Amino acid sequence: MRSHPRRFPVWFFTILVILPVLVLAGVGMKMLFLEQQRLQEQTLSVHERSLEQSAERLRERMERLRDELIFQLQSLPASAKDEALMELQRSHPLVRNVFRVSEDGKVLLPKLGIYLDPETEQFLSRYEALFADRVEWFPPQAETKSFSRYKRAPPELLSEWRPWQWADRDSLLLYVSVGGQAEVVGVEIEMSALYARIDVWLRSLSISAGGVDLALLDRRDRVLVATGETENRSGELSTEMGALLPYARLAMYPQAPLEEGLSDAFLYVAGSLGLMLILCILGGTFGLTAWVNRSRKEALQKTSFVSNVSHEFKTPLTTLRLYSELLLEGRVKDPEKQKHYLQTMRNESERLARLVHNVLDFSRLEMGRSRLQAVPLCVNDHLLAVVERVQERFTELGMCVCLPEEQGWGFADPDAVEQVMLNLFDNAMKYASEGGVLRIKIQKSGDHLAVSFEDEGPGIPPSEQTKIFNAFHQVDMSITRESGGTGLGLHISRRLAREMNGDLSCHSDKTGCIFVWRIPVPPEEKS
Amino acid sequence: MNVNMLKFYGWMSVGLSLLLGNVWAATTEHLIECKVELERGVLEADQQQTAVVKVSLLADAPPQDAERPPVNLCIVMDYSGSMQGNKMEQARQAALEALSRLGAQDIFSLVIYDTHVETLIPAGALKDQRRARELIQSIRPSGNTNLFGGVSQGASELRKAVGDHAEGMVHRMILLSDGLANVGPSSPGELGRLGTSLQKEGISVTTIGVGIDYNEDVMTSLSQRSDGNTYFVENENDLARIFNEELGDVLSVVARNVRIKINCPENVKPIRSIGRDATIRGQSVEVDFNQLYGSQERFLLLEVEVPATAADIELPLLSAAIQYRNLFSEQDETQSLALNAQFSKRADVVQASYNEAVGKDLLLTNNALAKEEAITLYEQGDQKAAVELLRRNQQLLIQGNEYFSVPQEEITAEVNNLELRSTQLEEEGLNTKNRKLLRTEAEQTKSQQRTKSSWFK
Repeated sequence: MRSHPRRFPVWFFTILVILPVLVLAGVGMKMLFLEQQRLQEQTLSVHERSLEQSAERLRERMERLRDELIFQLQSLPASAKDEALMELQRSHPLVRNVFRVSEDGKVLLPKLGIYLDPETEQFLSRYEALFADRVEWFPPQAETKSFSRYKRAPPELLSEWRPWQWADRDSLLLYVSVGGQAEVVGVEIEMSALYARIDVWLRSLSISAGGVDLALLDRRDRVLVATGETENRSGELSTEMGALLPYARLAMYPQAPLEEGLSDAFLYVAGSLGLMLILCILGGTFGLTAWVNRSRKEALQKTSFVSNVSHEFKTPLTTLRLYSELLLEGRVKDPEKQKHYLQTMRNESERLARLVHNVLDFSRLEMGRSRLQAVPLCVNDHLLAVVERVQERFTELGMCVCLPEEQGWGFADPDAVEQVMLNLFDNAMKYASEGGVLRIKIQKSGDHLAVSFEDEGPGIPPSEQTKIFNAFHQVDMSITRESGGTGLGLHISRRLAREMNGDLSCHSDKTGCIFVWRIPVPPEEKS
Repeated sequence: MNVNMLKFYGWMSVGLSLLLGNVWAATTEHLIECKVELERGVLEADQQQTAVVKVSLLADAPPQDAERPPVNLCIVMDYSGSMQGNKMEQARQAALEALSRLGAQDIFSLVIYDTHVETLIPAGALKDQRRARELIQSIRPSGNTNLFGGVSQGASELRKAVGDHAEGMVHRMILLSDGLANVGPSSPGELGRLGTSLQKEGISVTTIGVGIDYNEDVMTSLSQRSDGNTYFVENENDLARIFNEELGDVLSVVARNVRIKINCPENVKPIRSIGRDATIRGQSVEVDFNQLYGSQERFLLLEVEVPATAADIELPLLSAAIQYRNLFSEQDETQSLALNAQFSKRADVVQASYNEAVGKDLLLTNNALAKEEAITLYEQGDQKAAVELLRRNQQLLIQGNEYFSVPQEEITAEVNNLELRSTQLEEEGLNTKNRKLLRTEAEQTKSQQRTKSSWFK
């Protein structure tokens, strides 16, 4: 029975690693979330401050504009007031219409009862409720103020900046009552011109606020003016414009809109990090599992190797001890038998020597102490010499070796060449002795010789063909296997072949096995 | 060669002769010839009636050996996505052409707009033309159409030079757009009000609509209210030519801040101003023009109600005061005129007193109003009435022309044009292109635009 090392499953390491990592990741995510919230709050607060500043500057400009108009109204000459008002309408870009209402509520300008152009007619009808005294001219909250900028302005000036809604559109009136007189003079603001100015102001405020888009929206969220695209923009912040534009609010559209909860960017980053973490954990776990399993396998192979080597050493040593004791005790009298015993002892000691040789070679190769001296050599000569050395064993096993007819010159270390040959012959004797024939062929292929060893044994299963060159590997790893050996022969042979710039490979099917040994040809033989 | 072509080349030659330099002929004492005329010099006696009065201003050619007034020009260019391709290239070339026409005394600015508005070249003297040219070449189309923002920003740039030092300067914005305004105020009324406000600041906006996708009502409203010109450029390859003609106008301004103030006696009632907005309050009528171009006639046609008056009595109809700033003498000048009407019981005398010049302008202005009414009728669903209205006006023009001692070329051209327009309206309906043609033609006639060549091709 072949024993397999127990493998640790991946899930074992995964759980082992992932649990603490998940705890850490959870804590990290929570901290990231809190940090993002903090940043969002900070950004929101910055945007809100910036919006308030923008609105304040807009209000200041509006106030200046209003004050200038109030100043112009209160500075109208007492005589020819109507002409002065008409001139204001003709020349002031922000004045659409002008009016004057007497103390007793009579509209003095525009003059009624005469032909008026459509624009003036529409003006009168727009503010009919006011001109007909149906609404109060100066509500209680009307502003009484002194204008420090205009020293001539009387302190008792009563002014009203009055929003008006007509046909779903907002407009503004500005009128004053000067010096305690009940007469009212005023203007209707040219809204398009006002919005054109606000549009330019907004653009400069937008640049000051770092390029965020600003828009003035009316009570139904219609865009009055905007510095950029406002449709389908999220993250809008807004503030009321106050008494100067009571129907409007100033909206700001930050370039990176603020979102409730987790933002897409945050989720994307966190998700990417999480994915990378999981991949790292999985990769690490697979690597760790593979490393542990490989180490366990190597440890088992070494244990097996020690057992095998002990076993391999024990067999010849037992034979040597047994036969030497028989000879020493003189119990074997027959000279033929004595000769046979001595030959067996010699064979066993040679086998022991080969075993030791292999173990030492492996040790040298592992430690990198191998010193091979490549020289031009005749492969056939070395084959012949080695076959002669093992001919007796072939004969005992009933195997026949067919040497190549072709002559082949190689460039390799002679001792290593013979070591490889011995290992390949050993391998054939162990596994293909029943096949009877081992054919050796030499073929020159470019800069290399291909020396093939073809046996007629049972062959090697495909799954084992790549493993047979691994150290300590044997097709049957059990201690009770039929064939002996340390599992080093083919491993050492391939390494020696490769160190001599050649290679050793195996091709097998059910009719046998072919080991092809590629040996470089001497430099002078290269075409 | 048809009459239209003759007229086109005629105007072109006038334009070219004006454009060939910054130095013009000598000033004269009367830079502007003002006239007040009745359509019929003699009215029918003993019956209440309406009469049409023409108050006209004819400017001389700019004086020779005098430097032309400096120009404060702002080009406001649509660079929204729809301007992609040849339109943008032609617009760039047109702007470069305009740039090359300006001198060291002029101020130039360039504003571009899509969704956002950007001042590409702030208002200032053109010290570095090369840099300005590079900036113009760098314009690439993108985004939506914030027309209101573009005009606001353009006005802001022009305003930098509107002040004490720019009294004698011609302030002009050239707005080029090919799309519908879709950011901010975008109705004809709102843009028209903005135009009115800009005119008060002495800024005129000339609108150039490119292609058939822009809103001609918005564009004409803006130019009309600000006393600018309006153009419909169907083929963008005509842009450079239109810019050239517009620049010809801008560089030939001889007077600014022109105001006509009319006062009628108690018994004469002003009824309406034909084809032009005027402020009428009781007996007074006022009309403002931002500027008057050299060799250009601008006029007001006023309809007044005249009381029944006996024959052989001379009735004072109105007095007119015309004020303007002479840009060559840099003085404000005023001319005062008065108009009396004569009356007769004899129909042949009344008929013989017909003023052909006034009659021609009245016919053409009424024809422009009829074109606008035809658009309204069609859009109310009455295609037949719209076509009939155009045909009826065509007949009126033909009859009117027969009444003249010599047939008027301008009227003959318009008769042919009406034939084409009424046929188009009948067969194709009022498609986008035909609407733009009718609207632009009507506007150019009403505003007495000098360069009307956009539809002569």
